Amino acid sequence: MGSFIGKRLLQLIPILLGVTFLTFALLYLAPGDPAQSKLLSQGAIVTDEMLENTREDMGLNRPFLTQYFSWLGDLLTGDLGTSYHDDTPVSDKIGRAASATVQLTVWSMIITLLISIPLGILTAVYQNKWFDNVIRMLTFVGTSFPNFMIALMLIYVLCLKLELLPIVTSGGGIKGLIMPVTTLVIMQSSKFIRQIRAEILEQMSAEYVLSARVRGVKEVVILMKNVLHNSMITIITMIGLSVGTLLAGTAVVETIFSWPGLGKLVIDSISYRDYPVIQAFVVVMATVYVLINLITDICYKVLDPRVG
Amino acid sequence: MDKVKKRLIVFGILAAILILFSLVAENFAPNDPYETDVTIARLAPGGDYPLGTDSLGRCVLSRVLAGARTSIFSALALVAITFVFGTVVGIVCGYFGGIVDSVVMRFVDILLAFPSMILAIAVAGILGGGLFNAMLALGLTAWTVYARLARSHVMAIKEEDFIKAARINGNSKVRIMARHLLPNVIGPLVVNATVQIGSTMMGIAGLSFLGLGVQVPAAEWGSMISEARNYFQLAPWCIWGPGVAIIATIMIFNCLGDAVRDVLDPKRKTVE
Repeated sequence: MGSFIGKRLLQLIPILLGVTFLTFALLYLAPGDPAQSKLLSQGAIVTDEMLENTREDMGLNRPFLTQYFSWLGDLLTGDLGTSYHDDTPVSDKIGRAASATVQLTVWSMIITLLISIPLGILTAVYQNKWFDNVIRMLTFVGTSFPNFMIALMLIYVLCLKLELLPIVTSGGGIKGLIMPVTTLVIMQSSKFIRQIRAEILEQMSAEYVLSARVRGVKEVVILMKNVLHNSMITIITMIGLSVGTLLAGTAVVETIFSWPGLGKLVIDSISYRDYPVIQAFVVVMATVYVLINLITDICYKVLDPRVG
Repeated sequence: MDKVKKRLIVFGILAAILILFSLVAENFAPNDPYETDVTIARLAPGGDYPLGTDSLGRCVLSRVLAGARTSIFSALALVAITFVFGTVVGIVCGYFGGIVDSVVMRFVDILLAFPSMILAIAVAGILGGGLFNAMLALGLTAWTVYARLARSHVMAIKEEDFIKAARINGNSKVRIMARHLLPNVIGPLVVNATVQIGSTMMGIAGLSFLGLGVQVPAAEWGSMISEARNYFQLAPWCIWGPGVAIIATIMIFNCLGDAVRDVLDPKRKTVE
């Protein structure tokens, strides 16, 4: 087990090097060079002399690879650079926003699982009965809704028609979490319920289920003990894969509901052309994503010793 | 004819009608989609403006119709381009192997380490919006799926006798790839491409919604919704028009994707 984790961690190094390199290179996609971007971001009128001084200050006259490695070195010590827009450390901004996004994603994931696992099982058990048909219809509709439409419809129903919640809940708090979390839960559960249902149905038709039935094991016991246990691998894969969409979903949802997380930070930073913040956002998100996939792999190993 | 094939035909026809209609939709617009007139701003649906007017007095229905082509064809074009590019890369890498294959595949691994929409937001944001940049940002990772699929299928069949026979008969490498490998690996790739249409549409609309895709005043469903969000309370109909259009379109393409998968790839059937 230890050597398995060690090996997987070693494999991460080239991936993360590649990820950081590409992210660093992103800066050069911007029109002009970073010195120009920085001056524009601060609203300055750019002269050639200012540009040259800023280039020197930012170390842009060094070779590309030198710049990358010095940026990477800073990154490893937790220094994500300074914001072009207001010269504050990017790590402060990211740190503050990250906790808000973590709150959002963790609650969404917990509630999604609490809804999807029972509904996935029930729809599989009552396959083709009215309950299954209704839920399947709803999940199909749910997967065809772009996340911003789910959010806008929630606002319309809950805030404008029923007046249960205020539209803008600034500064966070539990009340502010309700709408963004609900949006993400609808988006996620629509996919999860379908996949869990399909997986349970597949397991139910396996031979070990038949043999347990023949031996007179109660249906509930088969379902809860064997089928669910064997479905865990699929469910965990699903969670691992969905983290990417979930994190991207937070960007849309945080913008709509003004939730002060990473997604809102990056959209605001884009409008200021504050590239170091965008870079930091990409690096943080990709690292989280890679680590979650690693944890998913480790879970496989724990659940299914056959996985090599 | 069995149920699965019937479903494929029904949704195939629906999708074809939708695509053809989007080409000419602009001609059915009851009003000029770009003409602004603030004296008729935010009219509720009815009369000359069946879906109401937006904050600049533009007819929502006309804009939805005018935006159909951009919204649908940008997604179709992106899927087609990534499909072709990824497939070619995958077949070439799978057939030749070696150093090029290793380098390309490591690069793919790195791209796959980014959540695709996150990278798209960053790239589109840095490039500065616009439909082309948004498509580029989404395409950056989208082709990798096809490349991986094509490559693994090519690797599985390239040592088969019929490929060896083709080689002995003196066929060129390009011909072997195009005439013998491609037809044998295309099935799962087509399935994947059809399934991707709906989510690609969602991706482009999502970027437009965030202000990183199609720019105002051009009519496109995602950017119409993004604009109308600012006065949602006053004129919710400005969102319902493009909103319903986009959801309905995605639903049709998702149904088509499911049907294509069930017909071409019966092993991974959506459980009925």
